[in-house]
Amino acid sequence: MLERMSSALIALESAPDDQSAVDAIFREAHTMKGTAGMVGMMRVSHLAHRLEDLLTELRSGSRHSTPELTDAMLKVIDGMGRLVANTAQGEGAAVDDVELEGLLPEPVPAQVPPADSAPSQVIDHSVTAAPSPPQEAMPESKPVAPQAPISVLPSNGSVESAPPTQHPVPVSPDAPVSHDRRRLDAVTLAVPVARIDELNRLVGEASAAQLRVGQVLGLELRGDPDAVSEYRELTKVLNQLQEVSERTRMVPIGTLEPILHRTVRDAARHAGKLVRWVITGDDVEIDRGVLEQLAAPLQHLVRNSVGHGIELPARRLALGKPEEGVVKVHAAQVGSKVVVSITDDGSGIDVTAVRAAAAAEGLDVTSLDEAESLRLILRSGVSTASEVTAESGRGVGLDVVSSAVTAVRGRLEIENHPGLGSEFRIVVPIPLTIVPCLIVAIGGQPFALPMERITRMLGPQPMHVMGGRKLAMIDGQGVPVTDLAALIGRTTVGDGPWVILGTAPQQHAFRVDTVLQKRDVVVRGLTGRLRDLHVISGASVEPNGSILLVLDVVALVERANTFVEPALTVAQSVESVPRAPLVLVVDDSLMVRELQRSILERAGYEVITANDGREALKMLAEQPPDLVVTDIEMPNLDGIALTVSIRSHPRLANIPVLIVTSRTSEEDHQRGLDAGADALIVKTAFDEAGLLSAVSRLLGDSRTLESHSARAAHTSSTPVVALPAAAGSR
Amino acid sequence: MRVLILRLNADYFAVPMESVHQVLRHPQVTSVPLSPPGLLGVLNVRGEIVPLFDTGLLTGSGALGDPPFAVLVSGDKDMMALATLELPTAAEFEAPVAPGVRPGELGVYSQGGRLVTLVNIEALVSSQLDLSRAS
Repeated sequence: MLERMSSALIALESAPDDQSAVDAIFREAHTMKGTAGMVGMMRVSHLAHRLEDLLTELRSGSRHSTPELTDAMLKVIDGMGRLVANTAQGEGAAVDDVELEGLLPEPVPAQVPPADSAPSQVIDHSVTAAPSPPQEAMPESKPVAPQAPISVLPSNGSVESAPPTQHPVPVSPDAPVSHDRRRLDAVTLAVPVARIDELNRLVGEASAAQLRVGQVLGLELRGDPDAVSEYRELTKVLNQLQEVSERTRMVPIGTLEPILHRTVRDAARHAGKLVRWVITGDDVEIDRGVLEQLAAPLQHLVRNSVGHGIELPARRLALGKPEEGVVKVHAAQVGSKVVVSITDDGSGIDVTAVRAAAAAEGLDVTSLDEAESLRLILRSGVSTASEVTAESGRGVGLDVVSSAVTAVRGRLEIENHPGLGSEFRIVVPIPLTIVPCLIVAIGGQPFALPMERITRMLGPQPMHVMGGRKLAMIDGQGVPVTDLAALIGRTTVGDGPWVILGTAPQQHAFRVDTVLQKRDVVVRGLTGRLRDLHVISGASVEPNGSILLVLDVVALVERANTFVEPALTVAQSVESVPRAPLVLVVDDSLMVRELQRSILERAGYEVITANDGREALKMLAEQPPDLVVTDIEMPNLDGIALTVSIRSHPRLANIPVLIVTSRTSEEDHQRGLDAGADALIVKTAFDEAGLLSAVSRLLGDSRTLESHSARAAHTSSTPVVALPAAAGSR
Repeated sequence: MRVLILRLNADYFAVPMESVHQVLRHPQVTSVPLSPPGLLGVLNVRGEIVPLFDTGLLTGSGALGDPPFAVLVSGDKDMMALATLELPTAAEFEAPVAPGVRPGELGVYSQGGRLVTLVNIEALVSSQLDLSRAS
């Protein structure tokens, strides 16, 4: 509430005629008065009452907003905050509220109210509702201003009792606006972070238990637990639950807006500078714990921008700049990172002065280039401020900022434009975020490419080789082309579609194997040792338990700019290409065969098909596949007989067999498993994910080393030995 | 000291039991492009993404390739998985018969007629692997 009052006051300062801002502060002050009175904080209630008086005068036009008045009111609000905090800690006497009240100007002498606004119609429930405890008695050294009239509103919310000129539209806690706020409050709930952490831990335990259930199911069914649709559903729901529970820790960066705005405002007032405050991207979400740790560094950076960056108004005019400087905070989500930039249009950083200051501290700066010299300001003791002020200049601060950012696994970047301004960027990984992605197959493995940098997709285009690099003419522009598989150390599989990143003239085309789909991906920032991986910006645990890696498109372009593709043609490289696993699909239904073929081919498998068991046996003799997917009911030779034949053939016996059947009886399932099938999927419960999961698992157990490295789909690991958790482990 | 013994090709290594969380069979590995050879890939362990290290390469015993087992252990700050070729066995160590030589080696112990090197896995990984360097 106090924070909202501060924000509204600062907003009012920029727009003194904004009656809605005055109304908003009035409502907050009134509510604060009533609430504090109700809980016996009479000193806070009294100060809120004094603010209410001033706001009444601002509303009536008998007083005008000035920076000095805003200063005073902000200090009183700060003091109220301290009073509330100290009262909560049993230190009620630590704040001098009499001194605080003395900051506020005396009330403008009130006009005599008209006879029809009799005091009998004026009731202030908020103050009179609670008795004053003896220790919280009103200070007597200051005269208590006349209490502002608060009307009781009729149920329809209209105000009829008080003429607006004498008693500006009063607002009670029951006014419609308050209803709106209550409605907003009703959809949010303050929950202790520890409880959320406990929830996350329990969800993790539930996932562990689910894996153990999967193991038991696997043993009981002698097959793939993912073939059971209920088990797959449980996996999917638990993964979704995990995502949702982890997202409960996320808060928008705009949460810090009031404190940053206030910091800029106070620093500008202190330095006699004119500064416009801008914040964008404030709805970008970040982990609450991370944001709390970034609050102080961000405050420091915006204060620095005002103190060191923005010039005094006269100086700016002399330089041909607008009198008013700009300090801007912009937040953006880039892949699985959040970037918060703090920019100003001031003088920039004097790198020569930074070097001199560092040299004066005994540092050897002779071999440092411009960028390295710039980062000297992050060292303790290095300051370019000519004088030490309360705001800045002690040479401590940016080193602390840098340490704080590092502590949240982030990094601090600096960009300097002498004479034009500077930019500090805090880049922090975020544990979880939803990113629209294009899912592509590269070297047989699916990867996610964040859509934000993708401008278009194209089929293969004619290319020219120039200076060892490939170029294509796209819309009249020469665009470099790189095979993405080769770039990330995988083997290219052919002439796949192109994904264009960036905009002209800085476009780059990447050739991928196939484009699988476009969808939202829940991206986790990689932590610990994995956070420094090249070209990987995050990963997603998919609903089926597999891991989808998210590529860092900026790093890809950077690497591509210096990358020279091996001079192998696709044909030459085929020898070393790990071939895609070959799957034989056996079904007498054309529609089912083609559906399965389509699903498997999209997942990167090679597929051949047979109409029945007899045809399948012929094909098996000519070209043994890595896996057989078969129906049961077929003419000539059914799936059970086919499976028995495979198992009895020395050369084919090790080929895994997956039965996909519409038969649902236990007896049929047992027949299939007794015949030697490795897993069974019921068609009524059949879906794409189920088929791919089962195929993946079966090939995972039997695939060749080459195909293992090139495989796309993965499932969760199966725990077989559970050991006691280590002390201190999660 | 209670330990878990891992077979890595012809050699045996042990990690303190207090750091061990779980043993995984047939870990489903997602390989990571441009990672150094010591990183076999990443695993999904209860929703956490955990690196799987080629313990054979880290210890100098030779690459393990496609390991049938992985041991989930906690490092100083995060979890990691160690590839191994057999289902690991628990044992009790008393006094070492020789000191460790390489970084991360805590000592050599005699156990069941074979020599087993006890390792501090955090120190071993840190000394042998820099994931910020692309392969």
